[in-house]
Amino acid sequence: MWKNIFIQDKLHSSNKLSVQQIMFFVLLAAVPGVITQFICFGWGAFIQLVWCMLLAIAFEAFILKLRNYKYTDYLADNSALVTGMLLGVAIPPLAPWWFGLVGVGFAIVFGKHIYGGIGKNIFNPAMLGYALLLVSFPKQAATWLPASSTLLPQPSLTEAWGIFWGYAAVTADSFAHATPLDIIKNNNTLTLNELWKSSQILDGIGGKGWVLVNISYAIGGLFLLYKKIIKWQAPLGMLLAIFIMAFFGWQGNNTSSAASPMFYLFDGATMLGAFFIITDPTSGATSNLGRLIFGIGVGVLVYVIRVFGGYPDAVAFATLLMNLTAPLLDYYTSPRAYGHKKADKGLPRTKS
Amino acid sequence: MSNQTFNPEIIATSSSSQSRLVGGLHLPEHKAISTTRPVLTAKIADELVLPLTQHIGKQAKPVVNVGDQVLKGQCIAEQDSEISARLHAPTSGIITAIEPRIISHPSGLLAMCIVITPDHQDQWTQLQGLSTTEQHNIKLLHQKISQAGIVGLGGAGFPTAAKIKATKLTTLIINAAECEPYITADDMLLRTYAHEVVSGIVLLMRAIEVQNCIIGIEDNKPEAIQALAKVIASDTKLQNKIKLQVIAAIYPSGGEKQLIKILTGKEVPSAKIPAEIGMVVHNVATAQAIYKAVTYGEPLISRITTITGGALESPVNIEVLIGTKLKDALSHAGFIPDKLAKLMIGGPMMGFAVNSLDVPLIKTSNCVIAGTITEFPPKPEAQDCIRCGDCADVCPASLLPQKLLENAIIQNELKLDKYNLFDCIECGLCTYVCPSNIPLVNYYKRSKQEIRKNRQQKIKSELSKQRFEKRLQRLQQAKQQRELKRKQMVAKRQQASAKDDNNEIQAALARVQAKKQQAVAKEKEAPSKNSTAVQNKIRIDLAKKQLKTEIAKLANVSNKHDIATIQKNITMLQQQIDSLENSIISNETLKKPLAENN
Repeated sequence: MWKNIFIQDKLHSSNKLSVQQIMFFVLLAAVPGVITQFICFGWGAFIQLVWCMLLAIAFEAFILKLRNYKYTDYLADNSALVTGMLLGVAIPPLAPWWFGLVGVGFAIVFGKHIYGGIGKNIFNPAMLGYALLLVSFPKQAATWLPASSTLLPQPSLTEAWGIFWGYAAVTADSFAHATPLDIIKNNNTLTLNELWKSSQILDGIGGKGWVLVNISYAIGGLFLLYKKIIKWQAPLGMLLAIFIMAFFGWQGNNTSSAASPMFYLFDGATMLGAFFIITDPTSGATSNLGRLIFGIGVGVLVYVIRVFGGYPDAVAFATLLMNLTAPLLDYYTSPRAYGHKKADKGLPRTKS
Repeated sequence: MSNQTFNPEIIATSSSSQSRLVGGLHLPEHKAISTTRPVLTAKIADELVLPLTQHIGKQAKPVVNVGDQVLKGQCIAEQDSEISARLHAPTSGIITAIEPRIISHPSGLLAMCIVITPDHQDQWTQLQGLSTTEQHNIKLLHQKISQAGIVGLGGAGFPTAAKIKATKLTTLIINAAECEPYITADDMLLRTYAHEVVSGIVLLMRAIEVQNCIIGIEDNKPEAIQALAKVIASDTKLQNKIKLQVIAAIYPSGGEKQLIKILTGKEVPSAKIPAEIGMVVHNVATAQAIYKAVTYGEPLISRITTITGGALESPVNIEVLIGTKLKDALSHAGFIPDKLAKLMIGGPMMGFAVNSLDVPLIKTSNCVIAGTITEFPPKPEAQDCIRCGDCADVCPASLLPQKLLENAIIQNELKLDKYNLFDCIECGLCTYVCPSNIPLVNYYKRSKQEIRKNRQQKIKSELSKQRFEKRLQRLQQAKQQRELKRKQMVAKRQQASAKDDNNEIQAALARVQAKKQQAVAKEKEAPSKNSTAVQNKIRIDLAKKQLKTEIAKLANVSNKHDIATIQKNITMLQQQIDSLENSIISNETLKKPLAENN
């Protein structure tokens, strides 16, 4: 009369989000940030994003095929697109075509599928790819533009296209400019006031364009929070940690001082990291307290690397380092189960 | 709220001891569709099928035979142990079969059932309730409840007679939460029979000797709350004893442990029952059944069941005889077979699907859902877990479902234990919210079964190990005793032979004495070999005798182990004999040259 029905076929929510929808909403939430990035950095940013997302799908399909997966099903989960998107917005707008290829390839193949594919990777794939690029090709990784076309000339579409493929007369060097984080990092002689006066790029909190980009990503992040796709613990932990660290590291007019808390909160990849990168559930901690600690850890590391380390921005390294601690955090932050006096923390002990 | 017409103190919406449910989720209710009509009394079906197991515990034992005429309310199966429940004929008729039939179980397997063909006379057997004075006799109360075959009607079906035996209780909690979607049986019961329920609660309080009672009810049943409040408000005595507490409609607040936490703020310790903290939880329907049993002597032969779902024209709650088949029950609500995609017994979260309309309703069947394909769409294929943690957020037991899943897949018992698998109440919320459509609860159920099986096997193997060790010990003891006996025998014989020798030897000694003294002087370096030679010969004799007995034993023994030990003994004895004989020969040969020298 009707098909044999199994016990597991119970009521399941029709209005809950599937993995596919979750990933789609993450992409959707990134739209304001991405558009602001286009506006601030021109065609280069657009080319990088499209290139990285295309590459991500191609690599994902290729690997799924190699692994004998029903690749159409798994491609539909949109997770590769998210990885591609994150790399696309992280890569500098004037980077050559092979830069994205290496980054996305490493992210998808080594960051994700070597560990067993979606849900099994211990590192954030996009950040693993980006970290590889940062340490391997520091020159290309620094080809950022000033985040506003009114300050300095930006490449046109044809120029950007030419830079991307490497055949144009113009080179990336003619447009590339230090980011606000670079400027702060390399400053040893000027007080903050003098520094802000001396540089056109550092207008306002830390370069109008960069601040706008960050605010846009934060808006997207709030949308994700509202949709309950991400949880508040990790972003709050990270932003709070950066704010507190920066607050104590900010010494007004001292020449060796770090910049203001606002500068660190709204510059570089802070908001992108807080809402889109460290909220990756797979490579993060899974308990609520664990997420908070995870976020705090990333925040502290971001500040430490930005101010004391060898790289101007640090979201990728901080995230990867904290990814390593996620399983441990899970062990020590497990909640107290109903009917138990206290939580059973740490590794399981063999009963003698 | 319009409950202001009654004493507003009766209805407590929150209290200091009340606490929020951890996790949980407000689910789409689907309840209103089955509460539009009053409770319908179901027609007597043409055949009633009564499984012998309608409860937790041992199967009941039939006390009727095929062909017997039974009256309504007559006991047809006796409880067979402490934790078991009687069965009664739901109506008068003839026992037409006692045979395996399909029962209300997810497996779809057959089990022993008593089949009654009703005569449609519906003739009661003689019933005897307790008088008002008798109702104060706790022993009589217990007896009556036990005789009525009452089990927990909320769904689990634990025999009530066994449950009320717990002592040192302080609070009775009445579960009227009914948190699962679709089910409205308790709601309609309270709307219709609030008085009987409250009377049942009073009797129950007396039976378990407690002074406090809290009724926990979800705020999505205003009519039921009003009905209860009205009854309680009518008597100040009741007002002092019974507290009606309205709680938020969040699934699974009706879970026993969850309800206790919500109402009292206390938690039942892991792996313990509520009695551990002085509490006991009974369902409202159980309270009504107790009322009927005590006042009228009426056994549990019918219950209110929600017949609902999209494949029905007019869902309704029916008061139905136990043993009524699904097809008969569904016919009261305008069953549309073509629309049916899924037939469920119990709620959509914790119930189970069956695939036969011949499945009978039993004491614990509180709901039947005839669902359409839109209500229960086929579940998309499960994908990999992305560790989003939504399951942990909704878990009412504060477990980490995704960790449990990881370890359930690889059956890592140690870690499943660490992550408290056995605290899972199988509410199904993790499965419900999983974005990857993973049937988490099924993994847990399987793991629990697997672990239970393993533990039983462990206990079994431990027992057989102990048996084996004890046997070894016994054998060892027997061997030691034999050894002791043998030694004693040897000692006896030595004594005996020493005595026999004495007479001869003494005579001989006297004769030899003189010679010996001369000899001693001559043969200083050759001490008396004679006596040792005699002893050696005795030893050889003994050893040979033992050898014989050992060989005789060998013929009788079949156990490999024993054979080995006997063979060992034999070789040892042979060696002993050989060495003794050698020493005698060498002594003699030693003597000869000495004699020659002389």
